[in-house]
Amino acid sequence: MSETKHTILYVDDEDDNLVTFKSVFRREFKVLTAISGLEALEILKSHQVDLIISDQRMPAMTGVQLLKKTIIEYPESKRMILTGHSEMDDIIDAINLCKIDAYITKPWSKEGLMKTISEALEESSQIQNLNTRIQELEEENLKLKEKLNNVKP
Amino acid sequence: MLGKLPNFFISPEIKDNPTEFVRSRILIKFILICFFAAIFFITLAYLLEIKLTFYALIVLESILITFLAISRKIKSTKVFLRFFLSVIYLAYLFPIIDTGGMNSAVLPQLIVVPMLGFLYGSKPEGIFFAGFSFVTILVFWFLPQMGINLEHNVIDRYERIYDYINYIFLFVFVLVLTMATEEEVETTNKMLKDSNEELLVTQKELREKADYSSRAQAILEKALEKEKRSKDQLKNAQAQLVHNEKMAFIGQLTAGIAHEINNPVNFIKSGIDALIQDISDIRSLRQVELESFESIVTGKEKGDIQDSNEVIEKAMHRIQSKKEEIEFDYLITEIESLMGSIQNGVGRTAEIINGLRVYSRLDQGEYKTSDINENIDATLVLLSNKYKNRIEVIKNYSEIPKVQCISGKISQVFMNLLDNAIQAIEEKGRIEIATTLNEADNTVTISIKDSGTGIPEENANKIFDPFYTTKEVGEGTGLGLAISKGIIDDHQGVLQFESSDSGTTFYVTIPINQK
Repeated sequence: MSETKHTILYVDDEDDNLVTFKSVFRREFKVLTAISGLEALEILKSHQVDLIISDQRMPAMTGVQLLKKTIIEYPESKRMILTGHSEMDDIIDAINLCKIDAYITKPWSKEGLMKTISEALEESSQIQNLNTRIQELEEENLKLKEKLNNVKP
Repeated sequence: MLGKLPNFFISPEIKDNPTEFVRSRILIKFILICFFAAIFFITLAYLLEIKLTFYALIVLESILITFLAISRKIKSTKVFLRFFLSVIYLAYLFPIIDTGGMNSAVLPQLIVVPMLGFLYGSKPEGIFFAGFSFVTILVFWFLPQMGINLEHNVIDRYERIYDYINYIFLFVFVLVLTMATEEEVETTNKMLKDSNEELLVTQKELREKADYSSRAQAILEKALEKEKRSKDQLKNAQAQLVHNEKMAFIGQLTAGIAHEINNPVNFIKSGIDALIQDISDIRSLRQVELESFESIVTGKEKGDIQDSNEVIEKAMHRIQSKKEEIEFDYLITEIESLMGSIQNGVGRTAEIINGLRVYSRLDQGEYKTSDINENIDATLVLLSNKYKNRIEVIKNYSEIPKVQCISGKISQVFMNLLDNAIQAIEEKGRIEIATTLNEADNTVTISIKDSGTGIPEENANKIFDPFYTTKEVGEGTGLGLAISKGIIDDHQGVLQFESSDSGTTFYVTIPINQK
């Protein structure tokens, strides 16, 4: 793992799920938790979040509703949804509407979930790296152009 | 036989309806005619010359006889017979008149003619000639009473001729008799043959009818069998539907269970994963502590106080840094909260499994005492994912005794009613469940009231009908309420409801003890 830990936001209406999730992953990631969609949106305003994992079945705001809201505002964040086995419609909605990277079914295992999360974040950091490289190259390009301008006259 | 009667004796209804009654009426008619004919002739004889009267009698009778002979299309022998009889009859009349009427020796021979008629022809001919004879004899008998005497003025030779006539008559009589008998036998034979043929035809017809009826019977049997088969099929289909409903119910049940159990199992599992990590952290701290302790001990053995203080400080620092590394204080609180979560999870799972107990005897028809309040609670647990955070459930339970029922089936009813209530509420709402004891008739009533939109009046009388559903295809079979009603009926209970715009209330009333 790199020096700076990735940040994961875990959203579930069950406090016990929040406690155990954080306990399992706090060593590898910076884990933020929210008990509702609204709280999650609050947290997103003040934190840079690499991955949002949300339970689907929550009162007031469902996982799909929450993730849908995050697409425009936080396009660089990865999204995953947690569902029961039988909720096919929810899974379909999540894939079609929320551009999710993976869906996780309850109960999850540490190893499986870790793999899924790592892969997603790996991809995310690669894209980030690429973006920074592009930015660097553009800057370099600008400098070169300036130099060229200075040389020409 | 009647057909041989002269037409003028036969009234139309006789032809069609030859009963004994009608026949006796003809006889009476005939006798009356004869009687009046006799009076007519006697009057004629009294008023006019005697001989003329007899000639009139003879002419009239001849006409009648001729008419009789040609009246029907009959066999030639019969015509001949009638002709012959008529000739004899007339042949006797003359000598009777000539030989002194009632005193004549020939008179008794008049009786022979009707006898022959009876013998050869048939009843009507006999009666006919008997009538003639009767009239003739009456006339002869009456004349002397009125002072008219016929003279015996015949000579011997003349009498002899009559004897010859007698012989000839006897000869012809025997001849005709034989012929008629033969013909009679033939006719009888033919009749027998005819009737035999008729019988054969009838037999054939009967056989055909029997064939037909046996074929019809076979068809009927086939139809009956077909009907039985389709009845069986219907029964099977019905059983299949009930089975499907049961499977759908079980599916609903398992989906509910799966969902309810998934959450606690999820955090029990991840909680244990986290605990394993925490314990390994503590173990690594313990390792550091042990190593530090050993280094202190070995430092002390060397005896250098300065050194040993340094060693202790170093060790303490190492332990402290390890503690910081593993966030020891946080770790301890985390372990506590993880324990709490796992306890929660186990508690909830146990509650769900406990709730399942009431469904475990779904197929057994055994009546056992069961706590209704507990049954409803168990059902609510299984349905909780459908109403949690959406519908407020208010329980107004009262102290009710345990009820003798098939627990699984009664729970199925609650499941159906509660599921309907939940589905009746579109967004947020309220379900009120109340249980009450009716001491008067030793029953309990369970009422389930929802704050839904209610059942439209036009649907109210259909909701217990099998297959009636307002839900989408695939969402409901339309059997839930029908089966529920069946279950409550089996428990000698009543399932009723009332509905308005502000919601529907279902009432289940069941006796505490089954009879």
